[in-house]
Amino acid sequence: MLRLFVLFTSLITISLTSLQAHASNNGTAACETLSEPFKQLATMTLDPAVGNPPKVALCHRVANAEKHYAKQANDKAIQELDKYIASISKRNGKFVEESYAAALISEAERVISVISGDFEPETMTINGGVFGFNDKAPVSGATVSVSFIESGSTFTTTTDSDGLFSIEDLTEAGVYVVDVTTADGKTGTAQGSLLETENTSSVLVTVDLAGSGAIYGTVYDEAGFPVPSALVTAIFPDTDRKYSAISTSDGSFTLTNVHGDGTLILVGFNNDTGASGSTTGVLSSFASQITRNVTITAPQTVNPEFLNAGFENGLEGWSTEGSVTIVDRNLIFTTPDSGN
Amino acid sequence: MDIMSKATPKLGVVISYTAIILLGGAQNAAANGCPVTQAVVVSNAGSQSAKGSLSQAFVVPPAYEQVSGRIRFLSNEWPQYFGTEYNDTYLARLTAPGKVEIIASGNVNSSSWSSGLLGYNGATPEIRYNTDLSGLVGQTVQLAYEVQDVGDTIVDSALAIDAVQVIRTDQFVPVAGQGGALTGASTISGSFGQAVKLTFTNQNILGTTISVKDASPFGQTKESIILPQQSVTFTFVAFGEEPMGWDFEVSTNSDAFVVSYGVESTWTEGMPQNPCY
Repeated sequence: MLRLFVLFTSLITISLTSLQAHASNNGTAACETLSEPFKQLATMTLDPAVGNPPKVALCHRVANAEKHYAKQANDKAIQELDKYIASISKRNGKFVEESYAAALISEAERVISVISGDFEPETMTINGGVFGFNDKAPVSGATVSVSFIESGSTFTTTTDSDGLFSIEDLTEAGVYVVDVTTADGKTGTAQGSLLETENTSSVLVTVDLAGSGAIYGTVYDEAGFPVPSALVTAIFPDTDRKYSAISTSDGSFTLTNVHGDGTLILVGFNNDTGASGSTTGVLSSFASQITRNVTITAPQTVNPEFLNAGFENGLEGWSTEGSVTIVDRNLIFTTPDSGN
Repeated sequence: MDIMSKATPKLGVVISYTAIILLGGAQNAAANGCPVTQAVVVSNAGSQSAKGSLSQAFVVPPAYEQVSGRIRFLSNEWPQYFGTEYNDTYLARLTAPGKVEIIASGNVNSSSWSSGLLGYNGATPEIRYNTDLSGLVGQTVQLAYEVQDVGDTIVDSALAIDAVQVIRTDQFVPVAGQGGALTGASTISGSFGQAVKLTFTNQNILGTTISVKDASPFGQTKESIILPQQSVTFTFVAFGEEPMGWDFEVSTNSDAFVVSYGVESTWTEGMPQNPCY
């Protein structure tokens, strides 16, 4: 009799567990592939920072809003989002961390404004300064061209008497390349990042007489396909010169006017995926033109948060290549910092 | 042949040596009630692999503000191959969709060197880094460290990476009695915590450049442009017991410089001392 009871309860437990898993999967699946303008809100709702409950219920609110929106029932879509906001507000930090709850509500309000036609994208600004490479003096009257690597949008301005420039009223964000040409023929490039969440970006560019070197190559992804619109930056640590360019439609790139400053590190980056990679090379007076291809890869494993920061669990959570060894930090880092 | 003679693999020595020392370091940290953390050494050892790397991709949780840490570049190319084309490199970068930041980069010829450790001929001083995550909440970010061969795959180099610190927004508190206005080159000093956040607002009608240098031996310099009535925030991080003394040298390239500033830190008067770092 006892065995029968144990068997019966076990069967019930197994059934309930699988039902629970099924329900959970269905719940989150509802908002995993939503289109704009709901995509970001759905992604944020699925974040581990949102507990369950209310994750599944919130997820359904967003999915329902999208369905109503697709049928042009905008009022019903907004009602769903209002309920979404109310649901978060009444929990007052419970199950959803307060700062994250505010971010969810802000994004939901943005979606409502898009649906209702009231949305006015917040504009952003890139501030910059142009200085001589050797004397660090401000360069006035320089022509500045800022190009976003993904869209190709380009904006042009000139520096003021203090060598400063500003490009305002931008409605797109992302990684950009700055090209500068001065009246006396000096050139310089730099790269920067403009985040929607921060509204402004600051970039410093140094200019110098053009070098005679050039770096050619192609950016490839991990499957070996060329990557167009990728950022390529060459760093010369010996002199701290940097050069940036954007790959063309066939993935190829050219960095010109480069000084042969010796060893270089070439970094490739895809703005859309965040994939990146690097290689090295040497550009000298003996070899003033080189070809280097860069392969960029997206992360294979993504942790839900930063894990094992102190290597207390060995290399768990980290990806490695080549020889990697855990070492007592006191062997290498001997501080408290003596200088402070 | 000469290169080959310099190419004695050191990894075995490193592993056995550190295995002995590991327990000692752990006991020190535990005795202070601090989390026991370790470091990692990434090398380009071996003729088949011209690169060593360590990376982690993660979704940025709410209220993450900074990641910070310190590295040291180790090499057998110093001193014999210093100034030659045998010039191994290191790189640390943070990437996310819409953002790429080179946190640290260098090579044998660009570095200053002191006596070696862990079997390597030379080691650089500590190189501190920190980078802002506050605008990346909910996004996938990758933090990557690399060391690569240049010119040969025989003489090895390595990058030592200390425990990475994550600093959350709520760890910063305003420092009472700090702040005010600056009209030219100045120094901001005080006893603060391991992380210090300086926010400058341009009070002039003209834009200005600003440069802030942490005057300590391993200190970083940060620069930016501030348009009128706009602000910029620089965060500096050091490793040691809290509180610690800080000196920041503020300067500008612009003629017109009128800024107000405020200070936030992970430690301020009234908080208990913190021996952990």
